[in-house]
Amino acid sequence: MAGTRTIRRVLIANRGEIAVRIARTLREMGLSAIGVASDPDLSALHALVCDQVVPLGGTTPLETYQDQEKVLAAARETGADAVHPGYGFLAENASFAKAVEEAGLVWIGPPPESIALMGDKLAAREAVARAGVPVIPGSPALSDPARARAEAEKIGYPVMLKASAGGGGKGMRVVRTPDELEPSLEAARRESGKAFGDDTIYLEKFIERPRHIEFQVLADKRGNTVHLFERECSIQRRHQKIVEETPSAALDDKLRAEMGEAAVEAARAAGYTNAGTVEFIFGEGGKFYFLEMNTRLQVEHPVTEMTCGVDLVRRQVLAASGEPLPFSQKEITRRGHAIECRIYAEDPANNFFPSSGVIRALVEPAGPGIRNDTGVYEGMEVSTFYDPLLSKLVCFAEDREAAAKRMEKALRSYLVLGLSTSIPFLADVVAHRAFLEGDTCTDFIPKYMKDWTPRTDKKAEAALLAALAGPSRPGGSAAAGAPGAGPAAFDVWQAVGRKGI
Amino acid sequence: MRTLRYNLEGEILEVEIRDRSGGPLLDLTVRKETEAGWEEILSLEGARVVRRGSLVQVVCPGRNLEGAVFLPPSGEGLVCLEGTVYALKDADLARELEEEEGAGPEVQAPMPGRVVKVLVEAGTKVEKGAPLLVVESMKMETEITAGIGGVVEEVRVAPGDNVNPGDTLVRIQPPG
Repeated sequence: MAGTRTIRRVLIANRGEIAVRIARTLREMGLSAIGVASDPDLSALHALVCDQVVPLGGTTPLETYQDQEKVLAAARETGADAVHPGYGFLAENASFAKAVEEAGLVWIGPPPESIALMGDKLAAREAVARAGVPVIPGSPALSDPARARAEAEKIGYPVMLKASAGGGGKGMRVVRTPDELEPSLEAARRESGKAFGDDTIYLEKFIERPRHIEFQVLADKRGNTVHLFERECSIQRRHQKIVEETPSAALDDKLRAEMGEAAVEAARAAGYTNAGTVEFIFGEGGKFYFLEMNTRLQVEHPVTEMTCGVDLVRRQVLAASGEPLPFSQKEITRRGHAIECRIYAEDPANNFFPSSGVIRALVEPAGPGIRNDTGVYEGMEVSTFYDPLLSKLVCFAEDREAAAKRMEKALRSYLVLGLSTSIPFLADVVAHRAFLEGDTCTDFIPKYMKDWTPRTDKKAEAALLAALAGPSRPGGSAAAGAPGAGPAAFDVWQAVGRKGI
Repeated sequence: MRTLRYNLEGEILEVEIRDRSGGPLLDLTVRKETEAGWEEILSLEGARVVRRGSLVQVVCPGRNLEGAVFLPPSGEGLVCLEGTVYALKDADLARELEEEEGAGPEVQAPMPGRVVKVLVEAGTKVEKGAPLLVVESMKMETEITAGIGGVVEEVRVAPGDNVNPGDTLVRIQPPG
């Protein structure tokens, strides 16, 4: 390996909570954090916590955070020597990673070749299978319905149709009988073509009541690859994770070690460096299969940070600069339990429909073991142009039960006004008997939360708080704390404690 | 003492705030409007109120309430408490709006009560919003006002009369 590269100024090619989180670590490391911002984001939190911000001009993701030329130009004009892509946008774009390296900058992520290999789901599956990692029985790419029928018979129903270029649940369909196959295949191809510009579809065995368990991996540029244990992300709505935790209630130490080893083998098969995540489908009876590898920092990375005591962004920067990993697999330990809830601007009582508007009031939870990675502040406008993730609330405690309790309390003290959020829904998820018993399969939401409505048993208390917050009425005496009721007028001299400001 | 009324998610709630003399402590009562009258649903004695930004905290022995409150001047507002967001309207304002929508020559009793004062008689010229009579309900006096301008045609009640919601109290002849 060609020794180490010095990184001093890092361009963060992202927005929202992840850009804020990356900027914090960079500044702790004594590095300059350079942000980019679209027009609606010029006063978003991520644009306020960086040392410097480049306006990208424009609004939609395609004309801003996904515009390779603009982002590269921003890096060049600010003298950045490295680019951190965060997740989403350009994070898993091999051609962008290559362009960054060709511009002489350090790409804080895996090699472009690894991104390209793992981005092609079929090629990825073949590569890891060759390395001895279990994969779900599946077919090659399909276009001919007759061939699809034969492949489905071979695999055995139920089968899952998947888009080769896919992600985020688009183009995915479960087929339970031969009759459903042909219409489903056509629909999946249309959907995939529209979403990804590629209508290649393949088949996989459908695992009943699966869990989604993934392993964090970390690799340096000197051939060392380790895993930092698992995260379970089974609680999903519309194939999107909303609650993640570590450790998984479904694994014992033997299975955990076996899966961890498989994750490391998968990363090695891809020639991987930097941080990545190997996702597995976990079936009943302890069977696990490689699903895909995410070649970037994962949204839910904080639960691993909490239990392993590692700053993954710091590790990413050091690995990218050529530093060796400071620990071997044996030296990586963890303790306690961590849960993350994704706080989205959406209405959980109305099919999770996205919500937008100005945040009129924001009170964040605090206390031992509570971390809130946020991208917003009171008074900020949340637009509909981007992913509606407001923050990630992470709770760490001695064990799962304590962590779940802490999470419920934290969610109930997390107060947001001005737009709908998933907070009341999530509080009821982590307080649910099935969650506490560890029955966290991917069908959790449809099974246990189908007809959910928010609790409204505190109307009297709500009216009381409104009455005590409100402006005082003519003729009525002001409540304590109302204007004019407090001590004498605020004295700036006294408040500062010195004269002559 | 002051009393505030809200329409909170369809329920009419009344909050009574009483100062204790010589101190910052408050006695607080919340009542809910039912068919039978006002029913007390929450009572806090000796509460201290602290406001921190949009957070309102009520601290009293054995009870600690906190929530975020947003009350724009429109008379509508939001309260977030234990994760749930409650939408509310100033109930008097909500009633005024309803009355305006349904304003006509017949002035009706909005709640059960007893007529304490009649301010007009047949032939009195009134503007829209002019006070017509006073009705007492749950020891609270409420002024009943004219929904439209015109001339009072008939007064159907006298002081001391008990009235029920929907009873016609006064008829107004619109001009022209």
